[in-house]
Amino acid sequence: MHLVETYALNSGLTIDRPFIYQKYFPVPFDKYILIHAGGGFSSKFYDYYNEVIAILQPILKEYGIEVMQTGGDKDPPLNGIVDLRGKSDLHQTAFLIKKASLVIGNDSCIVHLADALDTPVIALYGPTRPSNSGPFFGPPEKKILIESDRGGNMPSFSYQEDPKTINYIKPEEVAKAALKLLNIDKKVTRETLYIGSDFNSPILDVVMDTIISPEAFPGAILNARMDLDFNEERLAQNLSIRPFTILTDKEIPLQVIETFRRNIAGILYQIKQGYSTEFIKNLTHNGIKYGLWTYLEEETLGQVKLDFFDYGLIDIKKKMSKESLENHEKMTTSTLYKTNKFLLSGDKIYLNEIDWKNKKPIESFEKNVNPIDLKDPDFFSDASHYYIFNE
Amino acid sequence: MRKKKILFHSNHCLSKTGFGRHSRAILTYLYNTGKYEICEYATGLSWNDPRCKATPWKCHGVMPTDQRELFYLVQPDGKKNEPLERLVHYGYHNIDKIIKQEKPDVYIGVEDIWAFLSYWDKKWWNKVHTVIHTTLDSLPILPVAVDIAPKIKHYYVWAKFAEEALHKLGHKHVKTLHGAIDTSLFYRLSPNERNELRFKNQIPQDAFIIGYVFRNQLRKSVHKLLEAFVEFSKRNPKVNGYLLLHTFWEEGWDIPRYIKEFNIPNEKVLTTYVCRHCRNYDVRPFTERDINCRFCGMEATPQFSHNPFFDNRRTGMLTTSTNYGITEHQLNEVYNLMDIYVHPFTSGGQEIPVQEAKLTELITLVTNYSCGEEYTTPESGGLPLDWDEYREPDSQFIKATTKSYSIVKNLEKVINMKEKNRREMEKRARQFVLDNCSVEVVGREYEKLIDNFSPVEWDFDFTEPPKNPKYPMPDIPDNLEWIQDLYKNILKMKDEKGEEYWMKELERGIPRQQIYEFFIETAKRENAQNADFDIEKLFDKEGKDKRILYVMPQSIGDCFLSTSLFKSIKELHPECNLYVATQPQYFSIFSANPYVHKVVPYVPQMDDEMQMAGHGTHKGFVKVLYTPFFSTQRQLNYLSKDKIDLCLTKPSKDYAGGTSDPSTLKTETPTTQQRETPTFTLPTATLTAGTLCPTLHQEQTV
Repeated sequence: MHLVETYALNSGLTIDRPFIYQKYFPVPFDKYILIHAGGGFSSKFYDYYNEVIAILQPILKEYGIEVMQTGGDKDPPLNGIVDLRGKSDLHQTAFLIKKASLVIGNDSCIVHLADALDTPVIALYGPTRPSNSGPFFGPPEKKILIESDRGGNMPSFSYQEDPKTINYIKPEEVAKAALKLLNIDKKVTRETLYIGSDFNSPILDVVMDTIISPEAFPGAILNARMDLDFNEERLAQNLSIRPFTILTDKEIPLQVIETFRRNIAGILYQIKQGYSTEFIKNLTHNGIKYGLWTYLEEETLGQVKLDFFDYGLIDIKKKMSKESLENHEKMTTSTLYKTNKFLLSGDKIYLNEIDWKNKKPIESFEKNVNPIDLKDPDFFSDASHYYIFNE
Repeated sequence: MRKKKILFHSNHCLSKTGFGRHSRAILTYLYNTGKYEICEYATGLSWNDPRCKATPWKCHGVMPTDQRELFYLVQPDGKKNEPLERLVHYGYHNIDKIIKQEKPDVYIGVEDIWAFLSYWDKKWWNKVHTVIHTTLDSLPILPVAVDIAPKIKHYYVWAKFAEEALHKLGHKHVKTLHGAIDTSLFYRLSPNERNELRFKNQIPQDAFIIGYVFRNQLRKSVHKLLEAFVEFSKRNPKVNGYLLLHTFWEEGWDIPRYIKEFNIPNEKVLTTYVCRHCRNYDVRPFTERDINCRFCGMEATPQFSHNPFFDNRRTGMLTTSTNYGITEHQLNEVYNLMDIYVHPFTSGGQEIPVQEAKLTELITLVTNYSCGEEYTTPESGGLPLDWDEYREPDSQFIKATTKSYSIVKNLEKVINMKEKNRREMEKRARQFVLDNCSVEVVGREYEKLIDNFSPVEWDFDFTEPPKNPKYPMPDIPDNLEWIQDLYKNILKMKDEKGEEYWMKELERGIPRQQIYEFFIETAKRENAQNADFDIEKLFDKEGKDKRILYVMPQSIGDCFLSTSLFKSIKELHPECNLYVATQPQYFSIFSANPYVHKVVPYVPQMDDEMQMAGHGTHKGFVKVLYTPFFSTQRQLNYLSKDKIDLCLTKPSKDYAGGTSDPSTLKTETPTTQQRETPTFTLPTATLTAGTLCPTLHQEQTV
């Protein structure tokens, strides 16, 4: 049953059209679509609108249609589109919606507004069902409601999900729906094969043969990859000018820790044979946040667990391989991957450790789409940061 | 030979309670022998809590992981049942599950005695080697701990005074085994290091520091110590006395108020602050607010928050608590700031701080009651504090109020001791704990005990043979044979005492029919108790998607009115079976109802749409759930609405009715008749559900 129907029935009332006051807002474009990436709670947020935009934007450009983002200023930001987050109030947003050619959004008030204002709408559903809370009033031909298959499960109705079922919806599904409602007769050639759980978190790793100036990447906290090049001197130089998270499998000298305590955002310590609990103890005494993780097998961890008992849980990770990924049988040499994890070394940018070892840098951060590497099995150990697709 | 399997039931190793620290010490000891397969059954955690992964041995929490399951467990009849909730938190719910899963040779329960209530009646109790190691802190001994003594073969208590009391009551098999403490963590630092510590904490070198480490404040006589401190300072003006109260100041007693009341200068009362951020500690005079950290510079929250335990937003340094405490290493330093240790308490099971203080070679002044009796003997390096008895309301237990003059007297005794005698006594204090409470000593006792047990053959199963409540009354002339036949065929058991009892009842002239009925009732009740309750079993095997459940817990009239809705349900879902849930006394109202597939007993889980119809990975049990009683029986939502704008009745020749008044309906469809003249032709005959409420049946398409 739909929410509105429940209200009506419980109150003994009948349903008419809803009402919203629209207030003028200057719109710089004649034709545009709106994307709304926020909503009531995080399990309703679709995380891959950027990929939808990447597919749609070149096509929409041909038709002179702009893409804009509405929503609160705390909504996740989207790439390369006009950002109106926090700029329009609710009534101005209603005005924007009324004038829009299409609204794409999560299960949220914005979707109901679009529906009520007769604007074509695409809404995405994970933890909830469109039959309970979907747009209720407008004609069916003006809305496409995309419901995740949730891996065969029921909706969780939960504020938090891990993994988020709404993300099972593929970006190309949303893009295709958009072209359909816009009456644009263009084919979407993208086939999403796999999206890693960390793909959306941009990461900047720095090999410690490099010094990063404090002006570069303002506000970002970079990772010092001491596990790739254990260069204490360079680490100290870097820490003296900007904050870093340190990734290491060896003890960082106490002196460095004490001197640059304020610029150490945290330490990720990989436990290997020959680990040091004394190191972690020193970190606690210096008030430095840390995480513990290992590739060692669970069965061999008895003594390790006893040693680290007072220092928090150890994240026991398994190395990812191609075979562990869904749709791996569809991956060929022409399959592409995109990543937001970059490795900086010298003045070059690399997409992963293998490229760094083979000295195969990319030209710029924007050139982060490349064919996958089927030769080196280690390529897939970073798969949680990849978006893999056929085009 | 296979390793013996131990199921160890206590607080989780990571918890900083007395039981938790004991568990950690003992399990680490047993694990390191390499001789056993260990499974920890941890109170305080849920079955699959991530913290279970912290231990190198297997571990499960005692509580169900699913919060909804827990919710229904502790309120089976819709009302919160506190005794049951306590049992569930102690592990009652999952104990059979884990015994079945792990099939241990040895079960060791280290908890308050009421954690094990009813375990001794369980079928596995005497199959597995069961050991109970419990704390009893007051006299007279808790009745339940006495009553069950004969049923616990290996019964250990944490303190001698409890052993003695149980022996006096005739339970000679009860033994004392102290809680284990990791003695390597606490030791006396060298004089230089001790001086340096005082320097670091800005404490005068000549200070005479009287220390007290405590939590669970209401069981500690803090005010007596403050009173004694005043008197001691007055009588010994040359001694530069300080109190060091290592405690969480927002729990229990209003200590600042006592300090004012006794006119003690603030700077004379030290306490331990710990930084929320860097976890450094600082021993300094107590101020009634959080302070800035002088190590990492983190500033204290400006507004003092009075939500002490759960406010994670507080910053800077706070007094130590179990949530934000210091490490054992740091605590050892705190003890090393002290010159003497005083522990006035009402009663207690172990009082770990006394042991820790002794390990750091401090003379301990302890109330001479409960577990304190052992800490105050000359060979333990302690001195006894006199006390007065009071009775605790409710429990009627004897509790101690420590006499402050006794604290003063004993403090003076120590400061007047010759240095050599004092050092000897301090060293004895440490030796006492090493000999009696160290993990090596206690662990070895556990080890010896376990090694003496034979492995358990797991050839038995847990299922009780079902009783037979349908057995017809036998026709046997002899009374005894008749009784024996009832036992054998109805209750499927032998019970000589029971036979004796029933023989007497028969002699008293109780008719056979009554006794027979009692057996039948007992059989029915026990079958119901033994059955694993499973909602799925209420339904036939047609599958979830073919079931509709209509719930109306009570009562007969509501059930009857409900039958008017069933035709509509069947029309909407012709392929589904309609189940109706209510209490058994109302079942008959649905007899022969053509729409009702089956009537099932109402259980509280049925209130929960997500539980019944599914969510996430939980598939649920029914396709559609109707719980209309919510707005008529739970949260009333109908009484004041005299008029409604809906037509909810169908055109029918059989009846007319409803709240809707056609004259008020905002519809353009003309109404044919007014409500005042109801006839068998419905007033809203032209208004079908379809025209009036088009949305009600509109399918939302994706």
